[in-house]
Amino acid sequence: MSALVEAADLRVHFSTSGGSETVKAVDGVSFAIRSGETFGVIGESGSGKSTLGRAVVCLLKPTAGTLKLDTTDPYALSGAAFRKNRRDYQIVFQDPNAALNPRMKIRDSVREPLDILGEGTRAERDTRALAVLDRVGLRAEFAERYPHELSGGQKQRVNIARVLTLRPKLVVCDEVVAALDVSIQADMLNLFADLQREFGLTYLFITHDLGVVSHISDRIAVMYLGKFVELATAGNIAERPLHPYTEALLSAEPVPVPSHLRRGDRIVLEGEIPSPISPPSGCRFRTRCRYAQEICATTEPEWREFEPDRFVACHFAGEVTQRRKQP
Amino acid sequence: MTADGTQPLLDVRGLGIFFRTGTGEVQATRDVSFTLKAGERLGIVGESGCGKTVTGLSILGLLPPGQSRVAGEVRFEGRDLLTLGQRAMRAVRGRKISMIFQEPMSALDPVFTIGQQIGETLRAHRGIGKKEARERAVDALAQVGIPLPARRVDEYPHQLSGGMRQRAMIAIALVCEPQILIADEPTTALDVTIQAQIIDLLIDLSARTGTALLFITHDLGVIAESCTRMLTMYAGEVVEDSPVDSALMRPRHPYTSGLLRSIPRLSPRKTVLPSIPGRVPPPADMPSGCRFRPRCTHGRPACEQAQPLLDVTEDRRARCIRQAELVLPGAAA
Repeated sequence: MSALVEAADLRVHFSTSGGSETVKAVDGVSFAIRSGETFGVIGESGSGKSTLGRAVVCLLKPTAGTLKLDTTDPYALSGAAFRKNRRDYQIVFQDPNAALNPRMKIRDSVREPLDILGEGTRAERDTRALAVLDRVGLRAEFAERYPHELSGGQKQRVNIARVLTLRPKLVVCDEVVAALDVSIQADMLNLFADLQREFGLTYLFITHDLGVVSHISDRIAVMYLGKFVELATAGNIAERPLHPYTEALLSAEPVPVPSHLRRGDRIVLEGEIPSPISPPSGCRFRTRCRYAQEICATTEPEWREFEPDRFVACHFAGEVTQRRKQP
Repeated sequence: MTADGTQPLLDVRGLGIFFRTGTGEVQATRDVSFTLKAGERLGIVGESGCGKTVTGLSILGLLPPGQSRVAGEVRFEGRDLLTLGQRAMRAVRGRKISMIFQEPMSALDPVFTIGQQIGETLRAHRGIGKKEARERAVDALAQVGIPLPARRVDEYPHQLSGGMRQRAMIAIALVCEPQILIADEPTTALDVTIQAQIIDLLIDLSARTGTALLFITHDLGVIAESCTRMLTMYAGEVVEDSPVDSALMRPRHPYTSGLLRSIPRLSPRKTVLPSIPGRVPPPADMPSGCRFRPRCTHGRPACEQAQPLLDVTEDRRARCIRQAELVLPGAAA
C-alpha cells in the first residue's frame, strides 16, 4: 500500500499571547498513513493530537518539517491548486453543534461544500446531498429540518455527510464520538467502518478513548507532549505495549468487567502532563515514568523501528513493560 | 430495611421529578427507589436524559424551585429531606451530605482562594475562626493528595489544573466529614490517567472515613472500578438494581446488557459493535408499559403492561418480566 499522508519531523508551534514563549504543540513527529487504513492517534489533553489533525488537513501550517499529501507538498502549490487539493482531505470535529449553522436547513448545510465547488446544477447538487444523507442513515425528511431539531448523534451524521459529498480520500476524525452516548457511539463507529469499506476512505482517527481507538484502528500512534512515543498495530498496542506510557494508559482505562476478571496490578501515574512550553529534558515522559533512569533525563530517546512496522521512542523499549492479558 | 437487615443511611422512595415547561409538566423520573448504606459505594449509570443527575440534585434540594416538583420521600436520619425548610436543609448540605460535579471550574468561585472556599464550608457548619479554618484547609488539601498544600491553599482556581481543581472540590466536600458524598460525573472531564488518580482517591477516602458514595456516571467502566452496587436508569426509571459484579456478569435487564455490549473494548476486533436500535423516547411521549419495549429485542405482549421492579434475588431487582428466563450477555461474554 502506498502512503497517502507522509510527515517527516513535523512541528507546529504557537506563540503565547505575550509572544515571549513558544508552545510546542506538535514537536517533531514522523509517520506515514497508508491508503485505506485507519490510523488512530491516542493521547491526553494537551498532547497535541488535535493540532496534528489540523495540520494534516492544512488548517494549520507546520512550523517546520515536511508534509506530503499523496506525494505532493501542499505548501508548494499555488492558491488555486492548493484549494483543489485540499478537497480530498477533510475533517470532522467533536462538537456536532459547533460545526452546523443553526440557521441553515440540514440539506443546505450538506450541499454547501458542493455549492462552493460549483459543480452541476442546484438540483443535481440537491440530489447528491440527499443521497449522502440517506447513506449516513438520515431519511429525506431530515433534510428539511434545522440542527436544533436533531439529536447529537443525528447531527454528527450530518457532519459526516457534509464531508462525504466531496468524496475525500482522507477524513480526519477528531473525537467524533466523544460527545455521544455509548449506544449511539456504537452505531456511529459501525457507520464509520461501513463508509470506509464503501468509499475506500482513509481515516486519521483522533481520540482519548482507548476502547474506541483500538476498536476502529489498524495502527495506533500514542502521543505524549507533542511527540509520538509508540506506533504499532492495534493488537500490539493493546497486548504488548513497548512504551511505559502506553502501558500506563492501558492500565488506567476503566473496564466494565467484574472484579475477578480485572487485572490486579493497576499502574496509576503520578503527577500530570507537563507544560508544552518547557517540556522536560531528555525523554518527555520521564517525570511520570516509573522506570526512569539517569539516561532518560540527559538523552532524548530516538524514534526507532524496534521491529518491522513497530516504532517506539524509549531507551528501555522491550525491557520494562509487561505483556498484557486481555480480560 | 435493606436485605441484610441493617438500617440504610439514605432511603429514597418513589422519587418522581417533574419539570414545568411551556407546554405543561413533564416527568423526568418515575418511582425511583433505592437505599444507600453507610460506607457503601453506589453507582447510578445511564445515558443522557435518563434522570440520574436530577435524582442526585433532588436529594439535596438543588432543583430549581418554582420550575420543578418532587414527589416521593428521601429518608435520612429519620426525616424526609424533601419536607425540610431551607434553613434545615442548609444544615444538611455540605455537612452531612455533600456533592461534587463534573466541571470543577464552574463549581469553584474564581475570585476566592481555594483556602477561603474550604474555610467557608467549615465556618458555616463548624463555627470556627479564620485562622483555624486555614489550618484545617491545608490539612484537607493534603488529605486529597495536593502537593505543597500550604502554598496551594492561597492560590485561586485558575492556577490549578483540572485534576487539582477536582481534588480541591473533593476537599471542600469532605472537610466537614459528611456521611454521604454525591459525585456527579466527577471524572468525566479528566484525562484517563488523572481519572484513575481521582477514582483511587474517592475509594480510599470512602474506606478511611466511612463516607458513603453515590457515584453518578455514564461510564460503566468507572462504575466497575469504583462501586459495589449499581442502579441502571433508563428513561427516568430504575431498570436494574444490583451488586456491580453480578450485573456485569449476568445483567437481568436487556438495557443493561445492551449498554455493556455497545462499549468498544481494548481487544482489537474491528467487528460490528452491537448497538441498541432506536432512541430514548422523549419525556412527553413515553410508551405505555415497559419504557424500553420499543428498542427491546425480547419484547412480549405482556410488556405493554406497566412493569414493576421485580426481585431477582434478595439483593437484586430488575424491571423486566422476563428477567428470570432470559440469559442476557454481560461483560464477560
